[in-house]
Amino acid sequence: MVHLHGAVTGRHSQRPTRDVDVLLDIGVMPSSIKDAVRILNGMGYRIAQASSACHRLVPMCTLGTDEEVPMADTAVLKVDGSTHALVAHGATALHMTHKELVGAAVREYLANRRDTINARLRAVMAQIDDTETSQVAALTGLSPERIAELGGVPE
Amino acid sequence: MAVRPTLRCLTHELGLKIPPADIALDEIDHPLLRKASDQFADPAGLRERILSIDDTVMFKIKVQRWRAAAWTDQDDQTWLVAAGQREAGSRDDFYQALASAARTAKTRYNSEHAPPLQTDTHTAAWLPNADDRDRYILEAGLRFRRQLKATVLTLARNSLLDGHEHTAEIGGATIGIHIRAEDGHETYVALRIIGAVPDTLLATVLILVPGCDRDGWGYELAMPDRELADNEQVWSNMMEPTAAAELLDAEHTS
Repeated sequence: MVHLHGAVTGRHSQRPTRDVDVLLDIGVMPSSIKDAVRILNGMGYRIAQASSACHRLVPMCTLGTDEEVPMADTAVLKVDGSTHALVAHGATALHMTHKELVGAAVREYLANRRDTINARLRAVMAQIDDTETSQVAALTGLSPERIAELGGVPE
Repeated sequence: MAVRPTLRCLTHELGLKIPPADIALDEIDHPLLRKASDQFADPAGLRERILSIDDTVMFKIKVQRWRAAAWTDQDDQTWLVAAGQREAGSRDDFYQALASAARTAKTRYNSEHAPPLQTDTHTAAWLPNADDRDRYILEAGLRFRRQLKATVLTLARNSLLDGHEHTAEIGGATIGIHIRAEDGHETYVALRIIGAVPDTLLATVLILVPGCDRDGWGYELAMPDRELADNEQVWSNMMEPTAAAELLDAEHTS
């Protein structure tokens, strides 16, 4: 929307995303939303409803013909330029959206590393036994010997 | 804020043993500590400074034959840093002896360090040190561990009762437990934590869930009925049915 206001005043800057913001005055022409959506659809954009008051328009070539992206369900994910190019390349090759590819890739990566994550937790658990002293040592960083010096924990 | 004795003052001057960590040092029953806590309960209360100590601000605590020096740190915690008993026939020889020892400490410091101290006394040896800070951490850690256990047991019991997820905030993190115990099926436990928690806290929380094999905890990518929330991690396990039954029956308070 900042870019849109800039355009009104004659300032043009490079947009970081491919979505389009549109501001309509429905007080002047109540049918303007319908007409605008029809025109934008003809240009290759599809409207994604997020709420009754706010929509996001995204290029169909990126999101696919049936996809809608509610704004509340998306979050900005910052990646470096080479990763972004890789995502775009992979999404094109797999006929997926960027969002689908990143989601599937992260899920697969984490699923493949479940054993590593579980092993790391077990290594930490192995340092802690069922006594209160051991658990307090884990929580405070004090060694069981140091805890004993300082008065100890009644078991 | 109640007054705490330093461990040196407690053991060497009050002649008491260090109590276990479930007894906070400011809860020790001693006439000097009661008097000091009463005196410092009111920030504007009347206090008498020890004028012969000039490198720090210390105040006199007097009760019966006991004499002591109190000092307040930057967190407004007041410490009993020195104590003794008034000798018969002398009014304030405890404070004179304290100042004399602090002057000797200053002379020793100046002989070993540069630049020299410009004060008349040097009382660093009487102030709280690493032992006192660690004892404070130990007491807080034990209180937190007990609160953690009570919270985990309450969440587990409540989820067993209604089959829904129950959550609580503790130590800056949100803990949620969802237990499914359907007839004829194993009892499934999902535990989630939101917050940047250290691995030791996560491991302790999981250990505190009763009836679960330590090696059975597994990393999950979702809760049973929903996707992950921001900054959330989910772990699951099976709970022994007997432990689940005991959890429902027993009154866990520790």
